[in-house]
Amino acid sequence: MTKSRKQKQKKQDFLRKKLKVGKPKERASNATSTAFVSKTISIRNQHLDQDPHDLTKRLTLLKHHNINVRKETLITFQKSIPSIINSRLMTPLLTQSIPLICDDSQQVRQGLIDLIDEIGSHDAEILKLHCNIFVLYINMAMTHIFSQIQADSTKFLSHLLKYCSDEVVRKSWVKLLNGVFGVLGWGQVGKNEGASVVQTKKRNVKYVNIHLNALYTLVEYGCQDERARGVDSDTTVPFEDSSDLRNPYLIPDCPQPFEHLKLFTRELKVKDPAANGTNATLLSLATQDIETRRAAFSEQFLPVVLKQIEIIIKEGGECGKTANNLKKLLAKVFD
Amino acid sequence: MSEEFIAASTLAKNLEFAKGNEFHTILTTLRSPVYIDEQLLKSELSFLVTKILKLIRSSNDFDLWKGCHTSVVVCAYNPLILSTHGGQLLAAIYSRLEQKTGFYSSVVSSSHGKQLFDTLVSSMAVIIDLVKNKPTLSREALVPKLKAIIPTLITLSQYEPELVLPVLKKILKRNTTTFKPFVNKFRTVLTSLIKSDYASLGSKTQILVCENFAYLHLLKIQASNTSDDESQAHHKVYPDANWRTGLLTILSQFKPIIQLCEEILDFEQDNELQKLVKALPIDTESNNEVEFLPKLKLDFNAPLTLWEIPQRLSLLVDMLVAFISLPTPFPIRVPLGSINSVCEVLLSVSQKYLPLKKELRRDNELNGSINNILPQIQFQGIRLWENVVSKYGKCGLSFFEGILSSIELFIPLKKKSNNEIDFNVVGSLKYEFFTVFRLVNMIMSHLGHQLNTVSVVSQLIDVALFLSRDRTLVDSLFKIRKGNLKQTKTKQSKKNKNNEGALSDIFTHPELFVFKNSINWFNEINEFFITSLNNWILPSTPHIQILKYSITQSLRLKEEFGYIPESFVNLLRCEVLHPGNERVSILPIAISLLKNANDDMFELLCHPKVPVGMIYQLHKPLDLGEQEEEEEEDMSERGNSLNESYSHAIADTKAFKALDNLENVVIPEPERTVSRPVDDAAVFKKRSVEEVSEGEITSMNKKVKIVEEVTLETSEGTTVETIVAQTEVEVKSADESEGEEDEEDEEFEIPAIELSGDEDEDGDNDE
Repeated sequence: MTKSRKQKQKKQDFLRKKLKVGKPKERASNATSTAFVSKTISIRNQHLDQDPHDLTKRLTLLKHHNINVRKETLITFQKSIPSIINSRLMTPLLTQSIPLICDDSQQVRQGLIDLIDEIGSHDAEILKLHCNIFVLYINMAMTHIFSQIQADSTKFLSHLLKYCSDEVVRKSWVKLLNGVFGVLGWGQVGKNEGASVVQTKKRNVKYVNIHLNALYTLVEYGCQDERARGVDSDTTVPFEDSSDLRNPYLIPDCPQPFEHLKLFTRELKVKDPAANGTNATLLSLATQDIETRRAAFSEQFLPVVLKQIEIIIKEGGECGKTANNLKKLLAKVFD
Repeated sequence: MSEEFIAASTLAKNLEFAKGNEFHTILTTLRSPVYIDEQLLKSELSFLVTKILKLIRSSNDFDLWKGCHTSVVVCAYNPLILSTHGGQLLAAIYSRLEQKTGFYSSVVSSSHGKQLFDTLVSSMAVIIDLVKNKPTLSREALVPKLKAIIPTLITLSQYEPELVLPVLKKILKRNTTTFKPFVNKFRTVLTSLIKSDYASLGSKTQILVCENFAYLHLLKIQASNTSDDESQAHHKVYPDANWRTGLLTILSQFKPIIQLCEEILDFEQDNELQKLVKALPIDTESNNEVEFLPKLKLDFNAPLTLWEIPQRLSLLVDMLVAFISLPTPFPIRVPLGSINSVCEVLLSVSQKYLPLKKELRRDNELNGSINNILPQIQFQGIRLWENVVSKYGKCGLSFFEGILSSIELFIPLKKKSNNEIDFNVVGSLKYEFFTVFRLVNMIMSHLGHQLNTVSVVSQLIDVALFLSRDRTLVDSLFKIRKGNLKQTKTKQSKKNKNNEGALSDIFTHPELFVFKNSINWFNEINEFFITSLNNWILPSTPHIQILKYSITQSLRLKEEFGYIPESFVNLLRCEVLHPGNERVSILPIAISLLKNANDDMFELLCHPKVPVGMIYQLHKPLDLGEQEEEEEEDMSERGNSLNESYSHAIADTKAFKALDNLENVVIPEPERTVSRPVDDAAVFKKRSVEEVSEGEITSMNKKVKIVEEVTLETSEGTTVETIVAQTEVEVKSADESEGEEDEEDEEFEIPAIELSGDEDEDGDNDE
C-alpha cells in the first residue's frame, strides 16, 4: 500500500541524514547558538604591560618562584625608597619583604639586607614600627632547619640593631639572646646544647665571627645605657632627648607606647610550669628597664658566654679578636 | 512645739492594751519634749510610771516586754522621769530579770524566751548607762542595786554570754570595787566558758570573754606576801601589778606550746632559734591563775589532733590582745620585747629552714596535717603583731624591719626550688594574707622609704597580684578531661553520660564557678601597691603587672558599678605621678578611665595653667630708695583721674625699665608738693625683691609680689581699681616672666590713692 504523505513525513523524522563529504555536519533545527561577545578580558598572573612606576603591583613579585625576579624586585624597591619612604606603600612593603629573611636564596637575603639598610638610613622610625615582625622572622631564621638561613640570621639582627636597638632590646631581650646562643651552638636556657644547631662542628669561621659581632652589639645596647656607651660623634643625641631626661608626660615619640602592658593581648598560660620553671619565668619577664636586662643576662647567660668565649679566644684568628672584644665589654659592663 | 498634745495619762491608759502600731505610736509620742514639764510631774507622769510598773510586774510576757521598752524610752527622753522614778523602774526590771533567770530553762523553751531576756538585759543596761554618770542618781538608785544585779548577770552570762558580757564588762570597768566580792564567781564562769565552749562562741563573743577576763585583773591586789618582800617593801607598788601578772602568765603559756612544736620540727638545726626559745618568758611564780587551761592532748597517730596547737595559740593570742589593748584607768607596762620575741618564734616555725623530724616523714596524712597547721601557727604570730602594731604604732619602731623579714618566712615556696612561690598554697591562705597585707601597710606607713628589705616586698607583690585574680575552681577539671575521653569509649559510656549530665555546666560556663574578690581586699592591696610605688622604683616586671592590674580592674569595676572605687583612683594617681622606669606614663589611659571624675590632679596635669587667685601679703618695703623713686614716678602722674590704676601699671613698666640699668639709676630727692598721706594708707606696695636674669627672654625677670591690703573702708572705686590693677599686672608679667612663680611672687607697691573725700578714711588704715 502506498504510504500517505503524513506517514512519509513521520518516517522522515527518524531517517538519518547522510553526511556529505567535505561539509560539516548539518545543524539541528532546534539548536541554539551559544556564541557570545565580551567587552574585556582579564588574564591573571600575567602583567605584560606594567606601569613602570606602579610599585604596588610589584609587591606580589616578592613571592615569585624565580630567584632572580625576587632579587630584581628588591633592588627596584631599594632604588625607589627615597620617593616612597613617606607613602602608604612602606607598610605592605615591609610586611611582605620581611618573610624573605627565611628565603632559600642567599642573594635574596642579601638584597633584603640592603633594602633594610636603605630604609634605615632614610627613616628609622618605620623599622621601629615593624620590630615585632622583624623579631619574629629573625627568630624563625635562627631556628631554621637550613643551616644557611640560620647562619645569616644574625646579620639581620645586627642590621636591625643599628637602627632600632632600643625597641628591640626592650621587647625581645631573652628571646634574642636565646636565639643567638642557639645559633652559636651554646645551648639555650632549659634546653641542651645541641638543640638548635643544624651545622656541624666544623663551623665556618666567618659566620661565627658574624654571630659574635651580633652578640656584642646586643649586649652593648641591652646592658649599657646611653651614657656608658659613649655616643658617637656623628649621631650626637641632644641632651634633652637622652633617656634620663625624657619627660614621661609628653606625647610619646616611640610607636605603640603601651604595648608592653599587654592590655589587649591574651597571655597564654604556661601549661606545665613545673617542667621548665626558670625558662617560663624568664620568658615572662618584662625587660623594659635596663636593670632587669642586666640581671637576666648576668644570671642566666653570662656564665655560658664567659666559658665559651675563652675557648674561642684560644682558637685565635678573627673570631678570637671579636671574642676578646666581647670579653672586654662584658668586663666593663658587669664589674 | 504645739500646745496641743496628748495627755500622758491618755497614753498611759492606752498603753495597757496597745499592740503593734499603736504601741509604736505611743512610744513615739512619749519621746516628745512636751512631757518634760514639772507641772505634769506629780499627776500625769507619776500615773504613767505607775502604769509602766504595772506592766513590768505583770505575769504576761508581752506586757513585760512592753513595759521594758516604754521604761527605756521614757527614761531616755525624759530626764524628769529618769531622775525621779528611774531607780524604781530599774529595780522593777531587775527583779523580773532575777526571777526569769532563776527559771532560765523554762523561759528559754518558750518561743519568745530569748527575745525576752534580750529585752530585759538591754533595757536594764540602757537605764544603768543613763544613771551612771549622774552622781546623786547613781548613788541613790544604782549602787545599792548593783550588788544584787551583778550576781544575777553573772549567772545569766553562763547561758547568754553574748548578751550579758558587754554589760558586765562596763560594770566591771567602772564599778570595780562594787564588783569585788563577785570576782571569783565571775572568774569561774569565764574560765568554764574558755575551757569548754570557746570554739562554739561567735568571734565577737570570744573577744568579749577575753576582755572580761582581762578586766578581772583591774582589781589592785594588796602587797604581795612573799618572804622576799620585806627587803623590797619600800618599793612602790605599781597600780598595774595585778594586770601585769595576768599578762605575764598568759605570755608564759606560749613557751610550752612552742616546745611542743619542737616535737614536729627539728629545732636543733637553728641555733638562733633555740636561743630565742629559751629566752621566752616563763612564769616564775607558778600561780594557779591560768592553769585552768587544760593540757593539750596530741596524738601523732590521729593527725587531726595536731590542730589543737594552733587553736590553743589562737586562744592565747586573743587573751593577750585583750590585755594589751583594753583601756585601763591606770597606765600599764607592756613587755613589747617579749611579745616581739614570741611572735618571731611563732613565725620561725616553718619548713623553709627547719626540716621535719625524721620519724615523722613517712606518714602522708601526718605530713598533710603538719603542712596545714604550720602556716596557721605562723599566722597567730602575725595576728599578734598586727594588734601590737595597730595599737602601739611607732613604739615598736625598732621591730619593724625584723617583722618584715619574718613575714618572708610566711610566704610558701615550692619545694626543691629557691625562689618560686607555691601559688596553690597561697590560694588557700587568702584570709591570712589579708592580715599580712594589713600589717605590712601599717608598718610601711611608719617606715616609708627608709625601708631596706625590698625582696620581701617584691614577693608580696607577686602574691598580691595572684590573689587578686578571680579564683577559678574548675581549672583542674580541664586537665583531666583528656583522660576521661578515653574512658567514655567503653560500654559504660551511657552510664557515664548520665553522670556527666550535671557536669556539663562546668564545661560550658566555667566562668560561673569563680570566686570574686571583695572590695575590702582590693582596698588593702591597693594601699600596699601605692606605698610600694611611692617609695621605690620597682623593676619593670612587677611594675608592668601592677599597671595592668590597675587598668583592667578599674575598667571592669567601672563597667559593673558605674564608678571607680576610691582606692583604685588613688592607685591610678600614684601610677601617673610615679612612672618609674617607664618611658611613657599612663596618663592618657588614666584620664580616659576617669573621664567624668573631675579629679583635681589629672585636671592639673592635662591643663596646666596659671593660678587665678594671687597671694596677697603685706610687707614693709626693704629698699626705701627704690620705693621712693617709684613713688616719685607715681607722683608725677597723680594728676590723673580715677584711672590711676592703669598708671600704676604703666609705672611698673617704667620702674622695670628704670631698674634695667640699676647701676646708672640716680635716686632723686623726693620733691613732694602734695602732702603725702601716711604709709598706713598704702593700698598697694610695690617692691622688686630680686632680679633674676634669664638668657634671652627679657632683660630682667623679677620676682615681685603683689601686695594688697583690702580694707573695709575702701570705697568701691578703690576695690575696683585693685582688681583692674591686678589684671594689668598679670598681663604684663605673663609677657615678661616665664613661670607661675614669678606671678605669685609679684609684689608691687602703689602708694595711697588720693580720692576726694576718701582720704581721711584711708588714713585710718593700718598696715
